[in-house]
Amino acid sequence: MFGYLTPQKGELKVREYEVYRAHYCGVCCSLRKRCSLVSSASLTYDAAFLSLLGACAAEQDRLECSRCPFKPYKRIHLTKGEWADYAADCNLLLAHKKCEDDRRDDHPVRGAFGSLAFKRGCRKAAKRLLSVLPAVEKGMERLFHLEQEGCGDIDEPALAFGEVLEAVFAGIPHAGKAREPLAWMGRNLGRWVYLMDAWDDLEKDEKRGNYNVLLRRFGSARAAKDEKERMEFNLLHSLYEASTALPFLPQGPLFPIVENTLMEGAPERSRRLLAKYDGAPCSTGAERGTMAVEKAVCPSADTQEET
Amino acid sequence: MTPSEAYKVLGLREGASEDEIRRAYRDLVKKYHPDQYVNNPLSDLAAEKLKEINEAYDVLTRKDSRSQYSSQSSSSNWRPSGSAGGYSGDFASEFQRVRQYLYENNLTAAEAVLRGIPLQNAEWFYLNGLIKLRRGAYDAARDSLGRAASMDPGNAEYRNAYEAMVRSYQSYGIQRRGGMDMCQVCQTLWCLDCCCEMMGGDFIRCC
Repeated sequence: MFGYLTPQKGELKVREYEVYRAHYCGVCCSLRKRCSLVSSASLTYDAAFLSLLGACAAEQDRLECSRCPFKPYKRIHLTKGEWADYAADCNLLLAHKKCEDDRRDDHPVRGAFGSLAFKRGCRKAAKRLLSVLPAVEKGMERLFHLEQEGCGDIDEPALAFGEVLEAVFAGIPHAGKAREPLAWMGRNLGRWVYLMDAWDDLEKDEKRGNYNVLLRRFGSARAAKDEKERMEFNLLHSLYEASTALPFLPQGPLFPIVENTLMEGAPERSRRLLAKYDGAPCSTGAERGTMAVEKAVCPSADTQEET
Repeated sequence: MTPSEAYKVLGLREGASEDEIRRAYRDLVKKYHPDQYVNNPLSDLAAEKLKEINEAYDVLTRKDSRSQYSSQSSSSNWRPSGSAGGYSGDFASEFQRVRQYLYENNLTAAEAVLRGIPLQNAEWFYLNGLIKLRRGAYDAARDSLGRAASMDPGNAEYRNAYEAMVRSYQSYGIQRRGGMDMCQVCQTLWCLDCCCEMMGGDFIRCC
């Protein structure tokens, strides 16, 4: 997971924001307990959202007062519950998978370190996530094969990652009646997250020669940037489909935070990310930049020669 | 369903007025309306919910007749209609079979039949788009539906499917809380001026 799923903070009530923070801290605390202090560095906002979603679906939430080891002078609220633990487990599992991925492609050192740091925690997490694990591994494996093949279809790898998050969301404990809508939400959010990441990394991937589905589909980062409207459709339509699951969640006190994240935070984030390459000199535009410099230099060179 | 359960379904406290009941009912119907769940696997759940809401409304208003909204409106059934959608050309029976499979939500069979049809006309692209949409391949679905709509611009079914897809994203997440526009600002100033004059003062000197 990548941390794209955040609420629109300005639109939350103070109480709701505190609850959101409590979930973030709760997952962090659970990570420390389950793996190590280092592993809490892998915490993402997506995991906090997962914990929140679980508590929302089960209509239970318990806040406790505690102290943060990183800021011991400060008292914080945190949630303790199965959902924070579940989100921590999923976070560990996905962080470990990502490190293994890194080790396989371009960051052998960083990947190896991360993989080592999460190994024990991940093994324990995998034992607790037995029901979710096969589907997650299947999706990851499919994603890996698609990347190896150099798949140029936008939908295929996005769907593969969608299946991973579908399994993760469907496995939320005590979801009851909301399980099916949650799975649908996860499927579409997975698609959204994958495409967000692909768009975000366009330039980096082109420079390093990594696999990026958008580069394969459109040829180059510059061509991909011209397809902004298509990307906007892909991102926002995925979010729209995910949001159709909202009416089936219990409309408790946590619901407004979930709704805010999906209806305001996520589209806002998408629009901001889509505008990332507007106006800024793009790196394929690095050539464009150098051309401009040459043009600027040439006349002066000419005049120098003339003089 | 007992009245207390019915109140709970509509999200009301017991003893709510008739007006409140009507308003809550209308809001809920809007939320779970089948139009929102076309080509969505949650449509069955939505229909179920709508049935429950209708029942609750019937209990609270003590009507024997059925409520206004049926849970399955004809236009908004998430499956394409069983009839061939007015299509009658070459391979009509094959296309009909694809629609039937789509109706049964058997995507693999629908895709297999569709791949076997050598004629790639508007109907072919429309059905291909629906299959892709159900599979979650939104990018390919939009291209295919758009192609169907442009090949046969007169066909309302193709056009509606494409437009529904485009509409869904354009307005998504745009905040509806409007600020004040210029007209409202002027109106407010004018009202303020009138009030001040009424009290003996003046806010805008010249009028």
